[in-house]
Amino acid sequence: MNHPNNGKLALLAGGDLGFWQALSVRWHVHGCERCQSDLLAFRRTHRLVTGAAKDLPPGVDWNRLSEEMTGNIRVGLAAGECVGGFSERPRLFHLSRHLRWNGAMAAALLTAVFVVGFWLNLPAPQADHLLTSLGRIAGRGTHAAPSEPREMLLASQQGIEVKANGTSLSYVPPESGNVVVSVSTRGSAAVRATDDDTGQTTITEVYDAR
Amino acid sequence: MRASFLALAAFALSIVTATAGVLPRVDLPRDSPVALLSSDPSGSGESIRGGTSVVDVRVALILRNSGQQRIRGITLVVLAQDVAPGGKASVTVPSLSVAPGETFPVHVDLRLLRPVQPGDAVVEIGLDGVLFDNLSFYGPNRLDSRKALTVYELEARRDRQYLRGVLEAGGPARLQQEMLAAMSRQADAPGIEVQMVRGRPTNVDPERQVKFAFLEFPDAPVDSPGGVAQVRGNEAVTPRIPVYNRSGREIRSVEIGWILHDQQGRNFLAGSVPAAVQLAPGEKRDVSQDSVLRFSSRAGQPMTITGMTGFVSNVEFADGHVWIPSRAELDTPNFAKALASSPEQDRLLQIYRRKGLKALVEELKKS
Repeated sequence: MNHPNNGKLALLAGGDLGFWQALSVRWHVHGCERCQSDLLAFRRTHRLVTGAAKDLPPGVDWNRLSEEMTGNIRVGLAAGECVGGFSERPRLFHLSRHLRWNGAMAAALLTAVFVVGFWLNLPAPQADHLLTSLGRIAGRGTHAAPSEPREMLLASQQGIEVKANGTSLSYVPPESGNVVVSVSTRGSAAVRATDDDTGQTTITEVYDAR
Repeated sequence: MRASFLALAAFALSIVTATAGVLPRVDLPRDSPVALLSSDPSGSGESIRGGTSVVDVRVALILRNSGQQRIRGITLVVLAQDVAPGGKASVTVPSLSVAPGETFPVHVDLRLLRPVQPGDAVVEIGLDGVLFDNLSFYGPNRLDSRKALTVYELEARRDRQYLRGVLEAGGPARLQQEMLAAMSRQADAPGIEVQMVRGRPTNVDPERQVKFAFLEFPDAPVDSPGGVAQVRGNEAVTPRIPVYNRSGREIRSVEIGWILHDQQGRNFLAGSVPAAVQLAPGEKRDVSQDSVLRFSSRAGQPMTITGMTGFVSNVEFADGHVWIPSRAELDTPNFAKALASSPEQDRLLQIYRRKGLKALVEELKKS
């Protein structure tokens, strides 16, 4: 046998259940002792609460309080309708939280791959230049960085290089064999390397603009 | 989603790196004493890295002596038009002994960086000069390769003669000692990093003037009381060295070798100060270059310059003859380690290392 739940019985006791549902519940309660007992208990409670509500604290104007509450509820409903109108539009992007995080991770990973690839493939002089520029930006010009010369010759055991106007020409000697590096103030840098296999000595020299 | 991610990553990488072909052009004069037998540019290529184009010029050339004289040295010039206004390099092979009709290899291995721009990199390889065994020269000599090749050849003759003398005086055992000592000097040679820039120095240390001591070579055609350079920390600015022509011949150019001393008492060959100076007999002039040289140790730490020594590295007379210091003059105890060995000595050392003492003795017996 299906008994009406306590909620319906409570609403019936307070006179708040709809007409057709009240008719159905009353029909059931009429032939069911258990539900009759429960309904009586709800009615007693309702009477007690109603009686207690009549004794409001001194100074409380129930009518005014009721109007304010009603007004607040109407404002809340109106605001909800406004917001509800907007929630329909971005439905296409209304992805689950899980998918949103996946998308963010994929974008971050792609950015990282691009940055690492770009950095690894960037030649050392350009990387130095970029680092210097970023350092200047980070320093916000609090101290004057030395002006980079337009033209420069570099010579070390790792090789020789001439840099000018954003371009460079360089030579890196083989790792094996004896390497002799020299610089001429006339404007050149040279590397002398002897080939381990053939024994042939080759002098490679780069020159600046002069 | 995984597939689209991989596609995006591949697209990103294709932006970072792309390659294309670069074929350097070899252009030798019609009457050149060397002929191009083959040119293998298979190692050359261009790749795009970020906003920069990296052009590798790797060419293996096989040249043939098409002249009538034995070739002792050759200088090729490599012109990369994109490095304005410089863009110039050279590849010199000294210590050759190529008879007429024989072939020899020359390897060009350079890297050019330039901003990404439309069109292929234009790289041309040409001839600057060829030196023959009678010290005659062929070529446009735009890089002053005549003097350089002559100096290398004279150094080769000097060193071969010296080692032959050692062999004759002390036999193979003494020659071996000499080779071991040379190898030890090579291994102990301190390395430095040098930056040379034009314009004003950037170091803010107080400037001080450091005097050049000058090594006295009795046979040198020029002499100097010593020069000066402005020193700021690890920078040496505009070395100025007065030279005096004490020979009876007109001089066309002088090159001064430059040895630095640091706080640890080490000596470094810093470079050379060449100058085209017309010096009549008895005339005195300053050899000077407006340059700023910045020195660092091999580890990249700035060096503190405490002193400098100069020596006459070579002198070219107006008639084209060249003077170089003798072995005895260069065997100065304090500076022998700092001075670089000649290309020929390096070649002979390589023969000793790879093939042994017997092969070296056989090599020295050749003309």
